[in-house]
Amino acid sequence: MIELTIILLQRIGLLLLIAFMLTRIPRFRSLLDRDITAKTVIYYALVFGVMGAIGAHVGVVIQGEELMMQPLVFHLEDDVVLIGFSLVVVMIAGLLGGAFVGLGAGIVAGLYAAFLGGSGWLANALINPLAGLITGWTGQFFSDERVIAPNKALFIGIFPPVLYMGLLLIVLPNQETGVEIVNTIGIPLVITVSVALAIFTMMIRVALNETEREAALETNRALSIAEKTLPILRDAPLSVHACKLANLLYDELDVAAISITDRERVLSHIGLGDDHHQDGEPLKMRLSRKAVEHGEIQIAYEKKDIQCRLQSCPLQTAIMVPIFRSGEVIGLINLYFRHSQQIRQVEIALAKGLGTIISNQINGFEAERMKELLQEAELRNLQAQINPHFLFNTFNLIHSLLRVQPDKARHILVQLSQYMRANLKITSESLITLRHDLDHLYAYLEIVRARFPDQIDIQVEIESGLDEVEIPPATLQPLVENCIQHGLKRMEKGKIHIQVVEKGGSVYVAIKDNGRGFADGVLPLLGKEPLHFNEGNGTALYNINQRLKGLMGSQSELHFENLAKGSVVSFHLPYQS
Amino acid sequence: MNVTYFIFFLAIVVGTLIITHWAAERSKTTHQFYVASGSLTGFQNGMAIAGDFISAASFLGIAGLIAFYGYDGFLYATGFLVSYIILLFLIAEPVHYLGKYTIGDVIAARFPGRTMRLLVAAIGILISILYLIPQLVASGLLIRLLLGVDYAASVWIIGILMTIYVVFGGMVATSWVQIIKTVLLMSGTILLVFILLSWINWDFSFLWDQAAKQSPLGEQFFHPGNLFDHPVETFSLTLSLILGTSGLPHILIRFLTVKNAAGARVSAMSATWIIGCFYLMTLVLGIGAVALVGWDQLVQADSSGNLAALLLAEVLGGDFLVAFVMAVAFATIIAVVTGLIFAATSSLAHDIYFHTIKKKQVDEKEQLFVARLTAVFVGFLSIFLSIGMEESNVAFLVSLTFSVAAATIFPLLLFTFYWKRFNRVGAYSGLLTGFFVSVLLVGLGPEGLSVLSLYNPGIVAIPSGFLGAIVGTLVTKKTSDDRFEELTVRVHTGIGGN
Amino acid sequence: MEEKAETYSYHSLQQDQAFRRLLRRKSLFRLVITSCLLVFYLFFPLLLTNLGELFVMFSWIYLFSLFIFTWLLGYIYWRYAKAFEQKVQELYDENAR
Repeated sequence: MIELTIILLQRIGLLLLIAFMLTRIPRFRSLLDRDITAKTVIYYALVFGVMGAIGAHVGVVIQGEELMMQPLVFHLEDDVVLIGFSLVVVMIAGLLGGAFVGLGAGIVAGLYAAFLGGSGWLANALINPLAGLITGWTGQFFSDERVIAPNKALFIGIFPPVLYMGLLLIVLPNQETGVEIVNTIGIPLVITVSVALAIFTMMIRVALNETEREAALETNRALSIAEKTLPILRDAPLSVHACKLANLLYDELDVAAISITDRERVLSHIGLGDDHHQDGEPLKMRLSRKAVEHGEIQIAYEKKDIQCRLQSCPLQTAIMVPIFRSGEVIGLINLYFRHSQQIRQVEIALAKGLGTIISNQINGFEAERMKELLQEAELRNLQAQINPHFLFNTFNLIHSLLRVQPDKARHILVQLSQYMRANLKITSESLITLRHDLDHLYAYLEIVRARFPDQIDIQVEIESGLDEVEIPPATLQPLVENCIQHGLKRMEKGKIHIQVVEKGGSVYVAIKDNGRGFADGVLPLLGKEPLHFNEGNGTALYNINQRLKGLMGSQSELHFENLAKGSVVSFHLPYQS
Repeated sequence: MNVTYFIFFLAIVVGTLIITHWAAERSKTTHQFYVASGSLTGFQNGMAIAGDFISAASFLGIAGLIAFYGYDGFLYATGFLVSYIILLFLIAEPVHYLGKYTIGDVIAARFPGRTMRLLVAAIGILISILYLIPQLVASGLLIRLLLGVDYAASVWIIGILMTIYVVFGGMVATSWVQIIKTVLLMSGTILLVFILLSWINWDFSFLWDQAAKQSPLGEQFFHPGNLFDHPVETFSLTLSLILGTSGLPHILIRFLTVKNAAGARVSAMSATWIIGCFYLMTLVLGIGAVALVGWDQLVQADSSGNLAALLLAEVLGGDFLVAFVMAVAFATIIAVVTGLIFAATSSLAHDIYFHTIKKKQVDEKEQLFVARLTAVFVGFLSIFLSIGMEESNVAFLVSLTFSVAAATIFPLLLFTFYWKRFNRVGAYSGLLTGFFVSVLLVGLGPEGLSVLSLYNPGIVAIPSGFLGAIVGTLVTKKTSDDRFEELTVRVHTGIGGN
Repeated sequence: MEEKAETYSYHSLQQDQAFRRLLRRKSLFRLVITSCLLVFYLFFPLLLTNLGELFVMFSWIYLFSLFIFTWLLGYIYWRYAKAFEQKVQELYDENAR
C-alpha cells in the first residue's frame, strides 16, 4: 500500500506542478476574485474540464490487482479499470470557482473518461460531476474566506474518493474484481487526493497573499501621495508649483524621472536626464502630444518612442498621464523608467490613479475658486447696487421723469427693479442661459438709455436660436458697463455694438465700442490679473475672465483688442445645438 | 492495527475537531453556546435532530435485529419513526415558544420556582446520562473490535473527544457534528444499499429467497412474531418508543435552536423524512446481511447481531468498505454522545447552577465558564460509569431510557401545555411516580431481582406517571402563581414571550 | 408606549372569541390525530392474528403504511400550522389597531 501511495503521489505531483504554473498566470488569478457570471463559469468549467481530461491520463490502470503504468492510454480493454486523476482537477475547480464550475468541469472530464473506456467507465463518468458539485458546495458553505483553508480542503478531499470507490463497487460487473481493486487503491487514492487538494489550496493562498501584499503596499503609497499633494495644489495652479509637485512625486514613487508639463511645454523635470530635459522645453514626444489631445494615458515602451535627441539619454520608457481640470487636459505627468520591464500592471494602475487623484484635487480647488469668484462678482454688483452714484442718478432720472413722463418713469422703475433682481441671482447658479444674461443686460441698458438718450447708441445683434446657450451670470452687463464707463468716457456720441452670432461651431460674442480703446500698457494684462485702478473695473474684467475660463474652458477667455477707433471685447461660448 | 481502519477513524476525528474549531469562534456568548443563537435553518436543524437521534443502536443494532428476526426488527424501527408525529403535533411548538435554553425554562414558564426547576433538571440529567452510558460502551467495544485498542482506553478517547467538542464548541459544534454525521450516515447507507443491489444484480426476489434460505427461520423470517412473542412485553416496548422521544431532553432542546416556530416544524418534519428513509434502507441492509453473509457467520461474530452491517460491508467491498462503515458508525456514536453530554451540561449549568444555586446572580462570562466546566465534569462522570459496564447488557438501558422519559417528562410537558387544572403538586407527583415506578420495575425485573419477567417497565410506569400527575392535581388546590391563563396565547402562538 | 400596546393586544387576543375558537380547533385537530395514530400503532398489531396466506402481506403493508402515515401526517400538520399561524397574525394585527 505504501508503494502504491508513493507512486500515486508522484503522478499527482505532475498535476500539481502544472497547477502551480497556472497560478502564475494573471488570467487565472482573476478566477479567485469570484467574479461569477455565466460566461466566466462556462469558460473556467471548460478550461478545468480539459485539464481534467488530461488528468485522466495521468492516472493508473488496474487489471485485477496489478498496476499497469502506461503513461498514455487511449483506449482501454474491458477488463481494466482506469483510475484517473481528473478527480483532483475537478475538485480544485469546485473549490476555486464554486459548485457550477466544478459541475461543468466534471461533466467535461467525465464525458472524456467515459469515452476512454475500460470497465469502470460509468463510475468515472459519474464521479467527476458529483465530486465537482460536492466540493464546490461544501467549499463555499464552510468557508468565508476567498480560498478555503488547507486543512478544510484536506478534509473535504477525503470523501469524493470514497464515493468513487463506492461507485466502482456498484458499477463493475465482476464483484470480486471490484472488491480487489477497491482494496488495493482505495486508501492510497484517498490519501493522495486529499493531500493534493490541501497542497494546492496552500499554493493558491501563497499566490493570493503575494498579490494582496503588493496591492496593500501600492494603496498605501497612493494614499500618502494624495495626502501630500493636497497642500501643494491648493495654493496655485499647476504651472506655479510644478517643481514642488515633481519633487514630491519623484521622492514618493520608484521612478527614474518625473516630468510635469502643461499643454505645450515642460514645466519641471526632476530625476534622470535632467541635464538635457529642461524646464520650458516644448513637448517633443509624439506620445505626449497624443496624450494631451486625447486625454488618455500613453505608454512609451521603447527608447525610440521617447524621441530624445541625446543618444546617451538613460530614459528608456515612460508613462504619460494627462491631468484634467474641468474636463479638459491642462498638462501631463510623465513617469520615466529605465527599463520597460519596470512597467507592470501595478505601475500603470498607479499612474492612472495618480492622474485621477491629482485631477480631482485640481478640480476641487478650481470649483472652490469659482465659488469665490462668483461671490466676489455678487459682492461687486451688490456694491454697485448701493453705489450711490448709480442709484442716485437713476432715482434722479425717475424723479425728473415723474411729472413730465410718468409712464417712462414707471418703466425705468421697473427696469431698475429687474436689474437689481438679476443682480441678486448671480450666486444662485454658476451658469445661466444667454437669454437670462441678456435680460439682465437689457434692464441695465434701459436705464442707461434713459439717462443718456442721445449720447449712447446701443445696438444689439443676436442671432436667433441661441437663447439657451450657457453663460456665466453677470458676464455681458459688466462688460458693457466697462465700455460705457471707460471706453465712452467724455464722448459726445458713443456707439456700442453687441454681437452674438454662431461662428464655426461656437457662439461668438463681441462688444464693440468706438471709444478711447485700452491703454497699451494695460492691454496684455487685462483679464489676466486683477487691475486695481480707476473705479476698479479692472477687477471686474479679471473676474469675468476667470469665470469664463473656469466654467466654459480656456477657449472662452476674453480677448481684448484695440480697433482703429475703439476697442472690442470678445469671447467664444461652446454651442450645443 | 488495521491501517485502513485507523486512517478512516483519524479522518473522522480530525474532521470533527476542525468543525469544533470553526464553531469555537461562534460560541462566545451564552446564547450562542446554549442554542447556537437560533442560527440553524429548519432543514439543518432537522438534520441535526436526525443525527442526534439515530444512534449506533439504530444503525448497527436495527440492521442486526432485522437480519436475525426479520419483520419484528423492522417493527422496532418504525416505533422510533412514528414517535416523531407525537413530537411534532404536541410538543415541538410549545417547547420552542416557552423555552429559552433548557426544559427547565419551559416548565418554569408556567411554574416558576427553584424546586420545580431542580426536579425537572435532575430527571432530565438522569435520562441523558442513562442514555449516554450504552452509547459510550458501544463505542468502546467497537473501537476495541476494529482497532484493537483496549476497552478502557477506547472509552477514554471517545469520552475526552466528546467533552472537547462540547467545552469549546457548545451547541454550534454539537449541531454541526450531528449534521455532518447525518450526511455521512445517509450517503454511506445509500452507497451500501446500491452496492448491495448491484451485487445481487438488482434482483430483489433473489434477495428474499436467499434470506429465507439462509435464515434458520426460513419462510417465517418475514412473519411477525419472531422477536416479539410476548404481547405484554411488546406493548410495553412500543408504548415507550412512541411516547419516549417526546421526553428526551437532548431532542427537546433541539427545538430551541431555530429562529421561529416555522423552523421548529420544518425541523421535526425533515427529521422524519430523513429517519424514515434511513430505516427503509436499514431494512434492505438487514435482509441483505442475512442473505449474503449467512446466519452462522453473523451469530459467530456477535450474538446480538450488532456486527451485521459490518460483515455485510466486508462481503460487498472488503476492508475498505468496512473501514468506511466503521467510520460512519463511529461518527454516529460521536454525534449522539456529544448531544447527550451537551444536554446534561446545559441542564446542570443553566438550571441547577445558574438558576437554583446562584439565583441568576451571575454574569455572562461566568455562566459560560461554569458551563464549560460542567461539560468536563459530565464527560468524566460518563467515562467512569461506562468503564465499569464493559460486560453488562447495556442494550436494555436504551429501552429503559425511553420508558423513563415517556413516564416522567412527557406527561409533565403534555399537562403543562394543555391542562388548565394542572398544578405544581401534580407536576411533582407525576415526575416522582413515573420515575420511581420505573426504577422499581427494573429492580424487580429480569435485570434485577427477577421477580417479574418484564424487561421494559413502560406498560406500568407510563400510566403510573400520568396517573400520579392526575391524582396529585385533583387532590390539591390550584396553584396560586399559576400562569396558565397568561400562557395560553404564548404556548400556541409565541406572542407575548420576551 | 409600545410595550403597553403589545400587552394590551396580547391580553385582548387571549380574550378574543375568534382566537379561542381557532385555538380550540387546532387542539382538537392535534388530539384527534394523535389519538388515532396511537390506537393504530399500539393496538392494531394486537388484532393481527393469523389470517391465512395474505397475513404476511398485510403485516408488511401495515408496516409501510406506518411510514406513509408518518410522512403524510407530518406534511399535513406543517400546512395546517402554517395556516394557523397566519390567521393568528391577522387577528393580532387587527387587535393591535
